[in-house]
Amino acid sequence: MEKKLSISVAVITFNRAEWLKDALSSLTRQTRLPDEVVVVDNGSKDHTKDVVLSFSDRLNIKYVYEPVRGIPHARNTAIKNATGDIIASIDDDCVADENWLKQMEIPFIKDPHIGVVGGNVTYFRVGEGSVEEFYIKNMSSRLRTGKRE
Amino acid sequence: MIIQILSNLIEEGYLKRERYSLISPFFAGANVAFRREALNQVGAYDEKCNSGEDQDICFRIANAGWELYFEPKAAVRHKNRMALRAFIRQWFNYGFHHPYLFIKHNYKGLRIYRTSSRREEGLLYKNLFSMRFPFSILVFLTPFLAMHLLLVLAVLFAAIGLSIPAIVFGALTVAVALFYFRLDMNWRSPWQTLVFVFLRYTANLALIAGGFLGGAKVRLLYIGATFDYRR
Repeated sequence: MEKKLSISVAVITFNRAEWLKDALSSLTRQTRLPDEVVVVDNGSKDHTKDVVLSFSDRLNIKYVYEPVRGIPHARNTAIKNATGDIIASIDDDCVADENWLKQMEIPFIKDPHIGVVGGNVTYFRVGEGSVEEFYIKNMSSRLRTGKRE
Repeated sequence: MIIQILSNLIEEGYLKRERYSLISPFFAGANVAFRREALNQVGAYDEKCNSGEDQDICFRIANAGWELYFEPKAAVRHKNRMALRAFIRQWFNYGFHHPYLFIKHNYKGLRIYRTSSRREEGLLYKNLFSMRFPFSILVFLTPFLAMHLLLVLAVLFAAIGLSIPAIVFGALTVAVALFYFRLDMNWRSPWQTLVFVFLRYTANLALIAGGFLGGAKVRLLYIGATFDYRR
């Protein structure tokens, strides 16, 4: 039996409370739940903190306010505040599939020489369309109606 | 050492050096997990990398002897940047950070690369020429660059009244452009073709411009690689 690994999920965010809600919701639906979630708020002016705290009944969630702006700096703050053996990061504009953490954990258990595991990033599709098709739809309807977004 | 511009791997497995001899593959910060010992060994994210910090840290961890593993089943979905301006800014930023990473991890020199894209391995770069040099120059020969150089030649010949070379270079420009935009062509839908061509051109122009300005900031003459996305 391999040693059990603890996983912290690190999320850095800035002024995207509504999107963050979707990202955190997807963490509550994981088949392998995170042992800890660290949200680094990189100086948001919106209701980010309330969103994070609203998840405290479903996730072991930690809210960290980091006033010094910058993505790498915020990521470092998240790492400093995370306690897990594995630190998985997901962006605030992403939604994790249900098996995300479960699949992330497997390679780390399988091989102790693995230091980093990366996953797939796909895009939300609009209807049947791809990213490009979305642009076409968007731009062509704008041209037809002569309206701006 | 060349760092991939975008993480667009699709095959599960180890990112071995033999598989990627010239490039350093990486995982986007949007979906990556680190073992704590690996992070402790290489230290924190480089805070000078305002974009590309994920590439830098993956490179340092790989250099410290750790394996990198790609597991496509660990999937996240990303919301698109839907406004055109945000799309352009994103591509500009991809280009802008690359020269800093290159300078950080390489000796001064003149290097010329040719790109070839293979779907299963993301982007590959082949070194055509490389020498030590007091200044840092990094050029990627791409269809995008060739198209523009040929167009400049055609315009120059036309301007000095030499019509035959102007026509020859003009025709070559069109030929390279047709190759460059080949994936965007759809004869049944001119409108779709137009939008795809526009998006590809805009994204790569932003990438090259970002790279050039990012290069100027770290004293590197940088004509970057372009990204050919696939459908």
